[in-house]
Amino acid sequence: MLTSFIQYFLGVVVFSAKGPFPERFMNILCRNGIKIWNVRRTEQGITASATIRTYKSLRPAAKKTSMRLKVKKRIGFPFVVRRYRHRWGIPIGAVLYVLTVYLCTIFVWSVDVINDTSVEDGVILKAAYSSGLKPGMLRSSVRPTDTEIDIMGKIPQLSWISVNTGSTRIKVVVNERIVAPEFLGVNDICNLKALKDGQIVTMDIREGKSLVKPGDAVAAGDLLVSGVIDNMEGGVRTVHAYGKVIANTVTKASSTVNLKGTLRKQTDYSEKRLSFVLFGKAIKLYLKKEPAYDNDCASKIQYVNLFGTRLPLGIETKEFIKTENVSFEYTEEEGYEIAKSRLEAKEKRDLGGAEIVDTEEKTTCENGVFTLERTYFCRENIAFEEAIDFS
Amino acid sequence: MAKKRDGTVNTGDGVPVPNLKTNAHIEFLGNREVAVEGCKGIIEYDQRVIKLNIGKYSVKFCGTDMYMKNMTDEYAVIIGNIFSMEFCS
Repeated sequence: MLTSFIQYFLGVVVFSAKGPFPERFMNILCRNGIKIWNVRRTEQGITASATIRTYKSLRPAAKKTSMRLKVKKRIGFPFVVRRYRHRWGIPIGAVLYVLTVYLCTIFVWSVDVINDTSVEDGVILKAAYSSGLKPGMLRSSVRPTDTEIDIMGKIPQLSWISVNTGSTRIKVVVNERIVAPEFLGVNDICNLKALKDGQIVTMDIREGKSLVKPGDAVAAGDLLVSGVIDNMEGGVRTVHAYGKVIANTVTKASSTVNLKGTLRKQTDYSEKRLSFVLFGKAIKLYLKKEPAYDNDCASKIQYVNLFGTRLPLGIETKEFIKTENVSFEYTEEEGYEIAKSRLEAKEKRDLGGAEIVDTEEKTTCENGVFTLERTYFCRENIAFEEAIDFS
Repeated sequence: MAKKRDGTVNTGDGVPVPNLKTNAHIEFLGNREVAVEGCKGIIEYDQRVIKLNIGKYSVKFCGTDMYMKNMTDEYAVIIGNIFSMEFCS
C-alpha cells in the first residue's frame, strides 16, 4: 500500500523494450542498480514499470543492447499535475481552501454554555463576554484559567466552571453551588417563639418546657416553649425545644387598583432591520436610521446550522414595535377582578402552609383608587425556633 | 569454524549453518512465487522458462505466465505458475 502510494506520488512509466537481447538489457540494469518491476516477456521484448527518474536512465543500457524503448502508459501525480498545468484556478482554489480552513480554525466560532443550574445561560454568557471570551477572538488568546476565575468571581452561585478550548466552539461547563441551609442542629439549645399574634388551639411539644396552654392568646415574639428546664435539684437543664403550636390567626392583606390612568401599549405598526452577524459582530444591512418614535425593540439572531453545528454567521432581525400611551378606565367590577387576582397570588405565596378557615372582604373606592381588603382567619403553626444566646 | 565442501559451516555444536555469502537462497511461496537471493544475472527470460545465474551454477524455473515482479542486482522475485525447478551447471 505504502509502496503503491510512493510510486503514484513519484510517477510511474509503463514501458516496452523491444529488441533481440532483453536478458542482457535486464542484467545491465541490475548491475547498474536501476530498479524496474513487473517485467513481462512479450514476443519482441519485454514490458516493465519504472519511475520517471529511472526511466531516463534506461536509455544508455537500451542503446548498448539495441533495445527500443517506448512509453505505453503514464501513471501518477506528476502526470496529473502536468495535465492541468495551465488551469491556474485549481491551485489557487486549493490554496484558498487551505487558507480558509486555517483561518476558520484560529478564531472562536461560538461560546456554548452547558448548564443545568438555576443560573440562566444569558448571565453566564454575559459574564464570559465581559471576561473577554467572545466569538470572533483568536483561539490562541483565550486564557481558560483566567476566564474561569473571572466568571466564578462574577457569579457566586457557581461552584465549579470549566472553559474547554478543544475546538473552535468554546464550551463553558458549569456546576451550581449548593448552599447549606441555615438550620439549628439537634444539639443546639433553643426556644420556641410565636411568629404571629393568635389564640392557641393545640400544642404538640416534643421537647422543652411549655409556658403557654391551649386557649391562651399570644403576640408575635412571645416565648411559647423554653429550652431551659429547671430540675428537682434546683439546677437547670438546657434542651433543643421543638414541637408544633397550632393557633387561630388573623392575617390582613390588601390590593389597590387605579381605575383611571395611562398605559404604554404596543401598536400593530412595526419596522424590521436586518444585520449580518459574523463572529459576534453585526454588519448593518440597512441605510435607514433607527425609528424616532417610542418603540419596543426585539432582537433575534438566526444562526446558520451545518449538520447540527452552529456556524459563527447568521442574520440578526431587529423589530421596532411602535408604542403609544393609551388612557384606560376600569369599572369597579373590573377593578375588583384585578385586585382579587393579585390578592390570590399573594395569598398563595404568604399563606401556603396555613389552613384558611374563613375570610372577610371589604372594598372601598376613593379618588379613582379601588381597594380590596381581605381578612384571613387561619389555623397554622406559629412556633419558630430561636437559638438561646448565652454570650 | 570449519567450512565444509557443501558450503555449510560447522559451529561446533553439531548444527550446520548455511553460508549465505557464497550460496544462493531460494524461497518458494507455494508454486506461485519464488524469491532468489544471490542471483548474479539473467540467462534466459521467457513466460515459460526463466533461467538465473546464481554463481557456480544456474537455476531454471519452468512454468506458465511467469514474470519477474521485482529485480535488483542480487535479488529476484518470480511470479507465475511454477511447475519445476532445475539446477544446471
